[in-house]
Parts: sequence; C-alpha cells; structure tokens
Amino acid sequence: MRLLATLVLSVGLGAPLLSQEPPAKVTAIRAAKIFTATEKTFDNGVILVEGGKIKAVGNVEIPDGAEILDFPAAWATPGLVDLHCHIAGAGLRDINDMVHPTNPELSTRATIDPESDLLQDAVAGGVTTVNFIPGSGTNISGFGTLMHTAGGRTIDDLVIRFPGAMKVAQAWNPERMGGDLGMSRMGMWWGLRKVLDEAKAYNDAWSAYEKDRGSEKPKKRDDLEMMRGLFQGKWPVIIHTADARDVMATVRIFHDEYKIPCIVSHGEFGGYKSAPEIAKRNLPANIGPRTYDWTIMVQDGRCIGIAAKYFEAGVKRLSLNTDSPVVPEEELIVQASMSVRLGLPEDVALRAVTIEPAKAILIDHRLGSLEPGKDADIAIWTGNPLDLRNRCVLTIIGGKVVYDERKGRRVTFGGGW
Amino acid sequence: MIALAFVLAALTAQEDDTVALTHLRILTVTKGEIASGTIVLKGGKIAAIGADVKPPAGARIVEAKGLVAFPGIVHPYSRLGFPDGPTGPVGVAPQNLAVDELNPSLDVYTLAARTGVTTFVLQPTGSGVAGQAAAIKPGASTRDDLVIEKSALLRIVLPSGTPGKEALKQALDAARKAVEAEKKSPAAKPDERTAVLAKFLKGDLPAIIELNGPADLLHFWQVMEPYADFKPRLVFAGSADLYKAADALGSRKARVLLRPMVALAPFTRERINAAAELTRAGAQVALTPPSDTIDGLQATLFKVAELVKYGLPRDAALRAVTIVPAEIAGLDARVGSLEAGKDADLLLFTGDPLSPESRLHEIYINGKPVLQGE
Amino acid sequence: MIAALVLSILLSQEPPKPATPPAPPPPPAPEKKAVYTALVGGDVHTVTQGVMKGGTVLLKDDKIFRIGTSVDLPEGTTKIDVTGKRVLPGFIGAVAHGIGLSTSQGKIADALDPFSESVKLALSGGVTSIYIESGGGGGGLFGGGSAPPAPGAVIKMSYGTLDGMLLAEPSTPLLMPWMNGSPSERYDVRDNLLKARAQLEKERDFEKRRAEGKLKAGETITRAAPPLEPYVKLLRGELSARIQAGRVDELRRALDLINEFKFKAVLTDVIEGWTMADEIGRARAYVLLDVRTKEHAPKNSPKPAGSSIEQAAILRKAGVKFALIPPDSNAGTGGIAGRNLITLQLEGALAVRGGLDEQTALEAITITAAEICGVETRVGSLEEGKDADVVVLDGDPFDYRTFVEMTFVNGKLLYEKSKSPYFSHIKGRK
Repeated sequence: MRLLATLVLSVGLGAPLLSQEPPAKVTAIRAAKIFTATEKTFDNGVILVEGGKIKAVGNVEIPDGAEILDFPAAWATPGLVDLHCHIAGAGLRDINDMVHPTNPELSTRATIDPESDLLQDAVAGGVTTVNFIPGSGTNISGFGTLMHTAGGRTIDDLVIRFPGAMKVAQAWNPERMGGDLGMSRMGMWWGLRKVLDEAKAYNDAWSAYEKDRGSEKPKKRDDLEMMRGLFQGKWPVIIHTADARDVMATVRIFHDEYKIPCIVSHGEFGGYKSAPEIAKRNLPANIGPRTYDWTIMVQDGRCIGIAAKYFEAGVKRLSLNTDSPVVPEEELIVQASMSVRLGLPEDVALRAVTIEPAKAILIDHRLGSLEPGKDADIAIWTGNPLDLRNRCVLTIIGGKVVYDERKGRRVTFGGGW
Repeated sequence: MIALAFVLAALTAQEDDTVALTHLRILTVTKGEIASGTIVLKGGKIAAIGADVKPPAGARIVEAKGLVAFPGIVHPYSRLGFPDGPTGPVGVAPQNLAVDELNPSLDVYTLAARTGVTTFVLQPTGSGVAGQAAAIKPGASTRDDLVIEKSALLRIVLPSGTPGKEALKQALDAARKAVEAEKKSPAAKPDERTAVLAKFLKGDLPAIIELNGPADLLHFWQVMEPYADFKPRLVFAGSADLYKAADALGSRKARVLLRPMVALAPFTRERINAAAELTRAGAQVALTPPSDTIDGLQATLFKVAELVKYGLPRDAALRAVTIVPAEIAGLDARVGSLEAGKDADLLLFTGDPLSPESRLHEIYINGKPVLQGE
Repeated sequence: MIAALVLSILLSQEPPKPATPPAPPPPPAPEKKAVYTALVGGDVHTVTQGVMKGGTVLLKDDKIFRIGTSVDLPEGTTKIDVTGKRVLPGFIGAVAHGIGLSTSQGKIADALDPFSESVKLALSGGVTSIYIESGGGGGGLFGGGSAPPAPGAVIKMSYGTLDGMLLAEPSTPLLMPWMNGSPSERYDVRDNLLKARAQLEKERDFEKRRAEGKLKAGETITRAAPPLEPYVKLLRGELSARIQAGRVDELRRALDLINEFKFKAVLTDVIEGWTMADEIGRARAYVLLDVRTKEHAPKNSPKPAGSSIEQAAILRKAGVKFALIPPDSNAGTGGIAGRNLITLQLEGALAVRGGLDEQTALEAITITAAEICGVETRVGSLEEGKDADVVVLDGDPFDYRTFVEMTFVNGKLLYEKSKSPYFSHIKGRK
C-alpha cells in the first residue's frame, strides 16, 4: 500500500520496536506534522520520549543514541481522550444497576476487562484514554474509572486515576417506570439533591475530623466516601443531559448550588439552546454521540451541528465523545470529522478529542497534549486524522508501543448501534 | 304517484306562510353581497332576494336589521350518526347505499340542525368502491323527512398500495364493459352494481376519492390513464399534505376536499395553508367541518376563519363551505347559495360569519326556523 | 299546479343532461419542445471515461445529451455555472430501507411515495437511485434471521413524480433456504435450479432447432410453470440473486451453489470475504460491502478470521466487484452523522482508509452499484444517452467536508443545497 510505504523505520540504528518496558534511552519520533494540542503545531518536528514521558517537542535536536521512528508523511497527535465510554468492561448488561435511584457506592473499576477486544479496537483508532463510566439507568449510576486503553494485563496497569468521575444522569433514561420515586424530574432531582446534601455534610464532617483528630470521628459510609472528592475538587461529576431544560437543571444544581466541578455530557436534542449559560459559567461540554440535532426536539428543518452550535454560543471548553458502543470507541476521530463537517472549526475539533477532555476531567497535568513532562501517549496517523481516508498506524501509551499496524493486527473499525 | 301527490299537497299547505326577512346584510356567495336587503321565503324555497325586494302582501315580516344572512353550510363528506370502526377489506360494492345504514331516530340528526350545517352527504361504510352516499337535511327523525337524495355520489376509499389499485382497476374495467354493452344494446339492463359504475364512468354520478396522501393521487391518475376518453366527475378528499401536489391538482382544476387545518412543513412548525396553496394553484377547494361531532360541526366557520387569517382568500373560504361542496354533491340546484328558487336553507348571524364574535341567531332549513324562541 | 310540482320534483331527481353538439376532433398535439440544461465549467467525473476538467454536461429532457469541453448549447438552454465544482453521476444505494414507500404491503410499484420526505433526504446526499426492500431491513434479501425475504425494486429519487420513479422491479427466486433451511429445504432449492437448468436447455435446444428449421410438425415448447420462472430467469442471466453469507462457511456454501449453476449472485453481509477473495473472484460473485462491519476473530484463530477494514482493497485485488453500503441503510435523521445514505460518499473515504484506490471506491457507489442492481445501461456513469441523474459536489467526493450542492434526477433539478433548509446554513470550505 502506498501509505505503508511512507512509514520508514530507521533500520540503520538497529533498534527494534519499543519493547514492553519503557526504554531507558531516548526515542525520537519524527513526523511531517505534530499537532500538540497547544498553540504550537510543528512541521517536520520531533517528539523526544524518555522514561515514558515526553521530554521535548518541536524542532529539537535528536540526541545521539536515540532510537528514531521516522514518519515523513504522517501526523502525530496526542493519544485521543474519550470521557464517555462504556466498552471497557463486560458489556452493556453490566453498566447499570437499577434497583436504587441513586448508587454512589458503585464503580466500574473492578469490571474492567484489560483484554477486551473493544479496547483493542479503540487503541487501533488512536484512543489512549477513556473515562469508563456506568450507564444512565439511574440518577447516580456510580463512579467511572479514568484509564488507558492498553499497556498492561491487569486493571492496575491501566488505571490512570480512580475515581475518574461520578456519573449522573439527569433525564431521558433514568426515569423509573416502576411507579416509585423517580418517575418524574421532580422526584429524580429531589433524590439527587438529597444525596448531594448528605455527601456535602459527610465531607464537611470528615474534613473537620481530619483537621482536628481530637474531634468526634464520623461514621464511614461506603456510598458517600467517593463523593468527597467532588467537594474537594479532585474529580468531577459527568452528567448525562438531554434537552435544554435538563442542561439548565444540571448547570444550576451542580455548578451554581453545589459548586462541584462538572461536565455537561451529551447535550443533544436541543440542549444547545442552553449553551450561552454553559459558556457564561465556563463549564466544559462533552458532546456526543449525536453530532447533529435535526428532527427530534428541534423543529426548524435544519440539520444543526451540535458542537458547532455550542462553540458559536461561546463554549470554549468543548470535547466530543462516542458514548461507546453507541458509536464504536475507535470512531472517536470520526465524531470529530463529522462535527467539522457540520460547522466546527478543525483545530477546535482536534482539541475536543485531546486536551479539552483531559482538562475537563482534571487530568491535563498528565495527558491530553504533547508537552514536556506529560505522559508519552501519542498516536501516529497517515495524514490529517480528520480526513476519513487517513488512519492511525501506531499508538504509544506511556512510551510503549501498544498498537502497530505492521504487526498484522487488523484494524477492525466498525460495529455500532 | 297519487299517494305522493297527497303527501305533497299536505306539505305545501303547511308551508303556505310567507316570511319576509328585512334589512338584512346578505352574503349570497354566488351573486355578491347585498348591504341591506330582503329575503322572501315561501313554500320552503327562497321566493325572492334583493335590495329592492318588497315583502309580498300577507307575508309575516321578520325585522332582521343588524343580522347577516349566509347560506346553510353544506357538508359533502360526512359520517354523522354512523359508527367509527373497521371498514373491512378493500372491495368493490358500488351498489351499497348509505341510506341503508341510516338510523334516522338517532338524536344526532335533530341536534345537528342547530349547528349551522344544513345539508349532510352521508358516506357509506367500506373501503375501495364503498357505495353511494346519500344527502340529508337535519332536523327530522324519519328517513323520508331526512333524505333529500338517495344517490348523491359514489364513495371510493383508496388505501395506499396494491389492494386499492386493484379494486379500482376492477371497478373501472367493469364500468367500461358496461358502457360499451350499453352502447351496443341500450335496452339491456345491467345488474345494479355495474349500472352504478357505468354512471360513474360516464360522469353522471360524481365520485369522491379518499386518499391517504399526495402519492396516492399520482397512483390514482396512473390507474385512470387508460380511461382518459371518459370524463368522470371526481373530487379528491385527503389530508392537508395534498398541498405537495398543488401544481398537479391546479393544472387539472381539480376539486379537493380538505378539513380546515393547516399542514406543517416537514421537520418544522412552519404552517402551510393547504387550502390557500391549492386555491392559488387553480384547484377548487371545499372545506368540511373539522369533525362530525356537534362541537366539530359548530366550530366549522371558526376553523375556516383561521385559514383566512393565514392567507386563504375570504371569497374562496366562503365558497368552500357552501357552493363548492354543493356542486361536488350535485345539489347546487337546490343548496349552496342564497338565490331565488333555491331551498330556504339559511343562517342568520349577529355579525360577519367569519368573525369569532358573531353568534348564530337563527337557522332556517326548508324555510322553517330551528332555533325559534331562544 | 300539484302535478307540475310532482313532475318538477320527479324531474329534479335526474341529473341534468346537457345537450351539447359533439366536439370537433382535437388538433394534433404540437411536438413538445425539448428542455435543455447545461452544467458548465466543472470537473466532470464520468467514472467510466476519466475526468474532464472544465467540461460541459448537457442534459436534454431526461437524458444526458452531450459531454465535452466545447459543446454547442441550443437556444433556450438553462446554463448553470459549476466552475470549481465537481460533476458526478448520481450515487446509487445498493440496498435501502424506509425510503420512498408509503406501505410495506403489496407490490413496490404500487407503494411508491414520491412525496416522502425521505426521498428529499436521500437527494441531499446525492443519492439518485436505490435498491429498496419493502421489509424493515436487517438480514438482506435472502438472508438469515426470521424476517421473510422482502421484495426489492430499483427506484429513482424522483421527488414529486411517479413517472420514471420505478426503474426495475425484478421478481426474485427464493434461495434463502439454501443458506439456513433444513436439509430438505436445501434440497428443494437445488432441485429447482436443476429443473430450471433442464428447462433452459430444452428451450435453447428448441430455439436452435427452430432456427435450423428442424422442428417436427406442430412441436411446441412448454414454458416453465410460474413458480419455476424466476429460477429460469436467474439462469438465463435476467435476474440476480442476493445471498446473505457472512463467514467462511456460509460463503463456501453460497459459492458451491453459484459455481454449480453459474448465476449472477450478490453476496450480502459479507464479513470474512477478504479471507477467500480469490474464490469469490473466480465465482464472479458481487458483494455488498459495509466497510465498518465488525466481527472479532476468535482468539488464537489459526487463520485469518473476523472482519477487516481492508476487505474492500483485498477484494479489489482479487477482481471482485462490490458496491459500498453504509451501516444504516436508511436516510434517517436520528442524530449520528456519517452512518447512512445521506453520507454515502463517505463510505468511499473509509474504504480508501482501508487501502482501496479512489477510482474503485467511486465506482462502488456509482457504476458497479448500478451493475449489481441490473440497471447499468441506464445509470451509474456520465455518458451520452444515459439517464440525466447528476450531482454537483463542492469538493472531492471523499473529503469529509464535501457537500452535495445540486442533484438532478431524470433531468430535473430536485435538490439545491442553497435553497433547502437542510444544510444551507453550513458554509462551504472555500
């Protein structure tokens, strides 16, 4: 294939492909274009990797003895980040427990399947970090895990941070049909506030105790323990929202009332009408799986690009998702392409699958862009990744090659809802 | 024949009171407006109407200053008093008569007289070639008193798809054979079924074709192509999205029956005034009451006024509930406008019929007042 | 007086019969003037005869009349300037559901709904013809699954007109039981084909002897009984059969039948075709290819298995002809862009992602798709004499940002991006 021909491995240096362990020496990756997800993009630049971290990026000198990976016609980008992923575990049956309307004691960490085929597909699509969350079957379905898509055989090898985020579903799924509390928005949101009140009080009590060990020790509560991090600003709540009314409720409850870092996720079905309010509060919006609003809940005959609409309304902290498996995880980049097609600027779209989701989930000090000191999570593409004709040929996580097209691993790429 | 004469004599004796309604504003529909005039009712008919008409001697004079006269509304596609429910499989049953389904003792036939609709064309139950519709005037409880025309038009209900088209082809084929047989031996009497179809094909019995949507219209015309040498009288009844075929309907100057509703442009809440679009394209539009319930019948002019608000010319709107449906049902010699010689079916409003502030002050059916004393 | 009244009432029951003299015969209809439309100055991708830069495509009524760099335009031609744009044949959806039909009962010809909004949506994606199945979709025409095979037809997206909407409504032989029926059902399929072959041989022999004048006196040939007719037509090459065959064992089973009886077959829901591309090529079978079909190979599989995005490229190398189809065979507006017929051309981009060359990708949504549907003499390329089904694009068909600007069906301009509410608010790139 003509595309493979452009990937030239510098055999002269006799370096094998990077082995399982992060190599002690420096690796230099040369690419025609390096999209760093910062203000700077480099033509014919170099990424230096050492000890699993990025050492330098740009038109930098390659030190002697460095292993060189040469991609003369390719683009290098940060590994892609998806904040709304359901495929890292045992499947769709496993992501909701719907007996109680709120379940802050549940989490996905233990359900991760490091050998999942779907995770391997994701890696082959250049996706290196996912927030693996429970479903939207209840108002609080539990806590998600921020994890790499590859790089080890055990769960611990993959976890970047646990908890990743608390998953809340505002409406359009968690409505309970059993006739008990939680059938209406009134019931659902009262329940949410109740739990948040309890959790806040719990955190206050424990924080006070931690300051002064002499004071009375509060009781430990499994269901509220992980929620402490919300009030401490350590991890956010990611909220499944739908129409504009639900987006506003999200913004009011979580940001205005409880002052918890939050991510407005989905935001489809006319949710864009609340975008100015999100922009005013500088909140992150995580759009997907739908890339357009057209005939459901909006009625003006137009196919409206959702991400573009949020962006036009002033939402700068924009990220995209797949809600995998609704859209297969490896098609995260396609979500970006489609968003551009429907009006989003290209650079905004590329940032929306790299640095912006990392910022939203408070992990940007480690990943999401190609900057010195950050994790060496890198994807190499045959050209501009937004062009559907291009593909990911190499994926690196923590400095290790976790996907290499030349090793005969077929890029599957498909499936879906 | 002689019995009939006695009955008629009895009737005429009752109706010898001549009534003159004076100083009325009159909307004739077919011959313009009269700012202030007189209508003379005699023998169940409009004996005279005009600005300069003087009440005849001996007439009972009803001072009607401040009132507006309008023809009684004609409803050409009604199921008043007939049950909703399954219509059965698609078939060819032109011989079926709506009068045979009529239960004249139902309250609804007297209650309906108070709604302003003064002529109903009752449609037989069925799908495909369903049968012959009958015209009635409300306000009575016996079949003879209700029914004014046993066979006003043929009802054809065309569901989308093959069964409907096949039934229609069958019917047309039988009709053509009957017409040709008739030409060869005029004395031969075909069976009733075929006779009705032949009447339809020749244009002697008009037909209402009920369609699901504009696509069915195209399929109908496709089926009719081989019969282009015949000129049946056709009226199309369908949903508001018939506007999509406005050009095709307009160029044929077709007659179209609609409920007084706006359509919505796809995926939007943008209103499309189907009646106005079709009228503009050259079609003749008749508007039926929104439903066959008493409330629905009473709401007819209100809904029609809404269409005028959204662009239907007033003139076309007024004709759409009077003379056009009357023509459709072949009853325009008797009803549908205020003209001398026509039946005395009229409505007296306290203001313009299309104004929501106007109240229906009195209804005359066959010259007899319905709301008297209220 | 009463008698007169009675008479008048009796007479009023009869509809009046106007007494008009017979009308004179109508004058002969004047010859209808031809309607010419010219698309001038664009890059014309004919598909079959290369790209003509700055060319003119002249349409006359419902046909392509002339293609060239300097074409004389008759008086009254509507000239449309398409400088900087690309002119292509309308795209063809080789399988579709839920478009242009008002009902799923009865013959498709009687269920056509040219006023359906779904037709407009397909036009906005540049799709001008589709192979529509009246069932709900799912397992292909002769596929597995519990849904009975749905009748299919090739229809045009001729919004507003019934004339010229139906391109072909083939009857299809029931080969489904061959794939997943009981042994006796499979036997019946093969038996029917054997009978059909025998009938065909009889017919050919009869025709041969007739041509040579060697018929016996009064000899006739009995035609096939109606149930056998589709099989005879299949073997005669007048019909094709769609067979659902995903994995290797299913493909083998399908190829067995195809190789024995040598008929035109279209394989659907193909997953592992790429592992036996040469065999499919030798059988001259066609494939409906969803680039994104996904099935994981069993772990530690000894040989290549599961799906591959490279399937299109691999089949191409083996000489297999295929049409590209999207994951969703409708023109719906559910919200996830890039998965259905509204973005059919993007399937080509994904096939290129998997290594296919762009020319074959383009053929796979135009001329080869037409061939699979049996309508390649009418549509699928820009050639003089073919139907005037043409699209104008604002860029490379496989660029993810390219939109359809105009769509012509049977010579009529039925979609204009700038005038339609769908995408007019999305500005072009340049």
